[in-house]
Amino acid sequence: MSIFGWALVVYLIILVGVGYYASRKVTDAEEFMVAGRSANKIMLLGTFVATFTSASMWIGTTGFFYKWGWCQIWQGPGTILPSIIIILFIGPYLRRFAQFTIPDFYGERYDSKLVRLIAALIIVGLYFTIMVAQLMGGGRVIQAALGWDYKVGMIALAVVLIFYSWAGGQRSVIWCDTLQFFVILIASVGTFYYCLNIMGGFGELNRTLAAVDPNLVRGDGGGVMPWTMALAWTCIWGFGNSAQPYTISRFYSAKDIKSGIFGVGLGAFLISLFIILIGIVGVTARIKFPDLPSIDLAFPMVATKLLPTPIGVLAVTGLIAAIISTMDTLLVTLGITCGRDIFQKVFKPNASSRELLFVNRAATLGVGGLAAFVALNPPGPVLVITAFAWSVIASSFFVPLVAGIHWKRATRIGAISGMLGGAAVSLLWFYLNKPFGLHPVLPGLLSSLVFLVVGSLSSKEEDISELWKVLHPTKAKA
Amino acid sequence: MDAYAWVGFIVTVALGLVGLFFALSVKDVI
Repeated sequence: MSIFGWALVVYLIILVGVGYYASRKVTDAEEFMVAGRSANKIMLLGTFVATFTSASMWIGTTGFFYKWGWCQIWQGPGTILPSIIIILFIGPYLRRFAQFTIPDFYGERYDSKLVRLIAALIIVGLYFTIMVAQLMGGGRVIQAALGWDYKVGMIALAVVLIFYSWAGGQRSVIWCDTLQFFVILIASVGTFYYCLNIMGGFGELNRTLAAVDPNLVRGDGGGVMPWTMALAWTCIWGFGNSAQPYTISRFYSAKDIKSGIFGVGLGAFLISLFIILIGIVGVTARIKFPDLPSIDLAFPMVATKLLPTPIGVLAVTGLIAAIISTMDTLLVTLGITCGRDIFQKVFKPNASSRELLFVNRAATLGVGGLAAFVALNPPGPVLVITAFAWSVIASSFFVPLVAGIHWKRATRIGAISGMLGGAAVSLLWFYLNKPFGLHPVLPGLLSSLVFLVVGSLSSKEEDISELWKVLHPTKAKA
Repeated sequence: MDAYAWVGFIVTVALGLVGLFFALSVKDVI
């Protein structure tokens, strides 16, 4: 086995140890679901950044820079914008609400079991397919970077993350994510330094890149990224990633609002630097390895063939850390949604904390095991569903969430209309093969807004004064 | 790199700096 393989084995063992250590305090459902609301600033920073930076960012975005050059820097604003939206309009209010899941918010705010159930079923159905796709991505990355068999790599990742998510839930996930954040950070600094060093500095890198193809150093990529496209991507990723339950539910685990804002705010700054780093890795790969058979190989090739071995080992480990830290959060979100929103709220409202803990753990184990089993031989529909899963969640969740927090007049009928309308229109847009070249999230979000406003104004106003005082304590005092 | 690419860099880092500002001045946010 290569040194990269041994590094991965050691890293996975360390993760199991940290996850198990963190799980020792998990004796009730609240510890499992929101880590006892004890996550401090550094933990919030770690888990937010580690969760947000996924395989699609380190592998996919690096590949885009490899293929199209610096015009892909326009992915940056849309990547950072969700952090700003979460800080200003969502996160602090969820922390004041102090429940456990995002369907909790919909259910309580709109006083409706149906709204809660729709949200829970969307999360369970679609995050499951995303989880399968992430496991497949992880297995393929290990195959490309380390030469392991796809199934061996995928199962190794699955066993480790299922173990600590099952044992410690959100607490273990946050602890492991914090560790993974530092691995990603150190790997990024090392990769950044050596890439620039090898290429003779930023100026020389771009002069060499321009000699390969002048379009690679142009902001529009020679017509690939006109300003309309840059604006559209900023809106799609900016709004689409702002209401993803696996990210924003982190605020429930925060010790206080300050810790949450610190974590997400500083995280935004670091992610903005990561985007530039990823760009440097991508264009470096283009210069050094111009004929790769797949653009997804750009990052693994730089890490394993170009960087000095110790830094390459760090870079590969950082890549694996980014992959695992997104999957563990997806898995624990799935498990908790099954336990809290389906078992407790639908079947057994008076379930004890120990019963709920048992079901949360069983659901995490079951869903994780099933996802790994499906990823062994993924059927075609999984990949099809994954293609629109993110868009459907973004289109159905954002408007009812933000309106529920900031618009007192938003009603149950409006929320159901907005949720289902947004999901239906984004699905229809996929089915019609993206008319006008528009990504389905944009029409999905717009229609969700229209459905919610029309549905709310045409239904009777609901009394939410008590909840409003919780969400907006300063306005209530005034 | 042309000016359009630099604007992309600047907007990306500027949004990151807005996040950093919030992180360091939490009391003023909400």
